[in-house]
Amino acid sequence: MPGVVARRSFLAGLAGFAVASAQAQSQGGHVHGSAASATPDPLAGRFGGPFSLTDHTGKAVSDEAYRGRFMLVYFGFTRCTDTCPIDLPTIAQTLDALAPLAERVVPLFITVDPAFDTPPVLAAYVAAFHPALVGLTGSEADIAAAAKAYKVHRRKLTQPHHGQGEYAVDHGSLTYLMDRRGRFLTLLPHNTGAQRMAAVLRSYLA
Amino acid sequence: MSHWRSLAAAALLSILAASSSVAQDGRRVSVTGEISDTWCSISGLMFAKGTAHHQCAVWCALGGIPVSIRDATGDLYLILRIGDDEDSVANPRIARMATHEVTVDGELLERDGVKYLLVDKIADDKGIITMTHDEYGIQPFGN
Repeated sequence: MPGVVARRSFLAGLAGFAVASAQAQSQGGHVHGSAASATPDPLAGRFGGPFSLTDHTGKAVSDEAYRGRFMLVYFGFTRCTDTCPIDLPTIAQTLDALAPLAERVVPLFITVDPAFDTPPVLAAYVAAFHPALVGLTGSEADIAAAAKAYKVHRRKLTQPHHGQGEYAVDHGSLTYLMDRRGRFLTLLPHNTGAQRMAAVLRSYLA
Repeated sequence: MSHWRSLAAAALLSILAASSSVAQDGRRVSVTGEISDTWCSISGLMFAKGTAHHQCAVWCALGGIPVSIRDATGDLYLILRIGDDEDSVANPRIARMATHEVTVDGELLERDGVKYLLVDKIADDKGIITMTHDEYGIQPFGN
């Protein structure tokens, strides 16, 4: 009889742990950063933070608007000629590859050039890449705050070939995956292919 | 194997599988390499090494991107903290170390192929020793 009790206790303990692990996984795929995690995620607070911006439809939004979904955050600008035209198709292909899991993700394109990238400009631009892509703009101060939170550098450049009033914006090109509560999960560097990006995202979304 | 043993084995396998994705504790490392900026090194848009890239590395460091150490094998370690400086971003003290060949001690965290480094101590700083500007010009816009 004591042997039976011990077996039952052991199995109950294992079952409890397994259930807790499964619940933690369901919070965000990987357990780091979830409330159920035994240890706090040492990377969770390193990138990202609150923002208050305007989406490409002209609606005022904050990061709170996307709670409950993973945020895939990318900074760029509509007149970018090098990194954005490479990275945004990668993000679009990733979303297509993830379907239907992609519904758990909101892809955000935050402009580093708010003076030019107004909501109508952003609307036409993001639509060219993917119907789910959300363009975000705002005041110079609001964009600066968002860029600072995500540790994105941006520098306005005028080069010899630029005409009057023309410029480029040198900017970071890392893609950030944030969890359902807006906390940092992982970085996807420039040149991460769609297949690799989809595999990484799948491990968190599943 | 009895039924309860099969159940226990299955549960243990499940726990081990879960534990593998929880492994977040950093490990102590010593890394030697050049301090550069993460973006230029990752993007590959320009030659990002040595004196040719020094000016750009300072710009990026002050502009808000975390600095990295690139070791001799080309591995990149994204620095999240150096000593008392909780942030490696837009930090003039860190920017002054751009292009320096350093050896640092700290904690390494790896996630999805990206290496993150929490530096406790700069064990050695040889200064700028990689001279590339004659061959590659001043990046990214020339001399």
